Amino acid sequence: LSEHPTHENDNDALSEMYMKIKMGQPVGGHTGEHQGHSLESVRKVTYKSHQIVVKTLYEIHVDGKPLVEHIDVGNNGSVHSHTFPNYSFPSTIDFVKKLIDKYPDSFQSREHNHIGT
Amino acid sequence: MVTIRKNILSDEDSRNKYINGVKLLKNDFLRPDWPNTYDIFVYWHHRAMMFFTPGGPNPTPGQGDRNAAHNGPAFLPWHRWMLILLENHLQRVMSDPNFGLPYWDWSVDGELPPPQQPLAPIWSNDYLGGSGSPVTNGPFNEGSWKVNVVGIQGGVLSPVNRGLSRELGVDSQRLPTKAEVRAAVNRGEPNVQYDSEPWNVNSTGFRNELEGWINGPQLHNLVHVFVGGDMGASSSPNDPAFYLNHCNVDRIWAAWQQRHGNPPYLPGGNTPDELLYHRLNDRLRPITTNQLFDPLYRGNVTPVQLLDTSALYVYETLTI
Repeated sequence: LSEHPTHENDNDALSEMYMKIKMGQPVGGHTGEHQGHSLESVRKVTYKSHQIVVKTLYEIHVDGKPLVEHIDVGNNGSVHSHTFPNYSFPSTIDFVKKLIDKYPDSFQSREHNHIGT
Repeated sequence: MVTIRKNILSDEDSRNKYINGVKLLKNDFLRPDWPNTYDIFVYWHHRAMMFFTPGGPNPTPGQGDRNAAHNGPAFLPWHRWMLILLENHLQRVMSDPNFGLPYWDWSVDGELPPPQQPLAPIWSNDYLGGSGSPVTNGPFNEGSWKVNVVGIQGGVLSPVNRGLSRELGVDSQRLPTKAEVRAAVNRGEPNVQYDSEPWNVNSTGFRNELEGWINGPQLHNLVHVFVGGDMGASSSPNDPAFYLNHCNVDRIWAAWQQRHGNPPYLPGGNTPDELLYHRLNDRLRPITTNQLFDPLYRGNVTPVQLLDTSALYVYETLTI
């Protein structure tokens, strides 16, 4: 079998996740090769023997506060995010609108902070 | 023992046992330091989704790149494995080795006018109940079914204590149609292909069309989006509708395999390491190697081992 070189002990991972959840703590975030990479989306296409690479760097603000969300742009221009893993958005604006609809509380406190500063 | 997976809408026994079984799994604890068995599957799905697998010496992943269970070739075998284990645990808690996981052929409902689709029989009191945050009717109403963890922003799994959320027909007004399923199964004949470079959401081939990224959301993805609520998050197995959708997705894959004489799984073994977790002989991403959770494979299974599952289960019909 092929194995990932940094493969972790999954038995311990399940227990650790559960114990934190049981204590009321959130767990996780992105792991593996994805961990720590910048808010950059890269598209690579070979066309008539030419390699096309398009890098998109994101900087999103809502109510003046930065929004840290990993976003990817597909080759057809659609926008994806694992916050909504089955969705394709026609634009990043539509994605952020969905975030505001889905997590209004996050943006409520963001708005209050903004007003207070 | 070979079980038969049947249509939940035409087999009352499968429906009753499925509803009873998943509720039993919510109160089944394999170890004191693990969540209930049903929720282990929720953790697993979320964790695999947040484990990105582009690999390579200079990875530059984006959200559309592969994770351990989605957006790449392993999407179908990884979920096939998940269904096999869920079915195994349902058989155990119900002491019924003949139990077969039912499927929901959503393309039948996709033939209804869109306003009628959220009112289809699958969403009635006798099956899964309907919309709501929380859902208030059917067997998974707020008093009968608790959601304990949800995937939220930033890839985080967060504790909650609430009922199930569904928003039928809100983010998509319609389900996939029979014509769309048939088109996916027949696409490219006679030279059909399981998957292709760049092995992600931009690929052509059967996997990406069935997963639903081509002109997406379509097929599998569209079902998640149509159901909405908890089905729209990385913790989507919180909704028992998840398995009925994926069992149908698995059935469509089986139909494709049968129709085309088992086309090869791609990518094969002699492909770059950047495709790790997705190649024919790669180990799929487990949540645990403990045999209490995975008595069949102990967390060690590869796509090649899952291409022929006829020793475990068959579908009542592969007609699509």
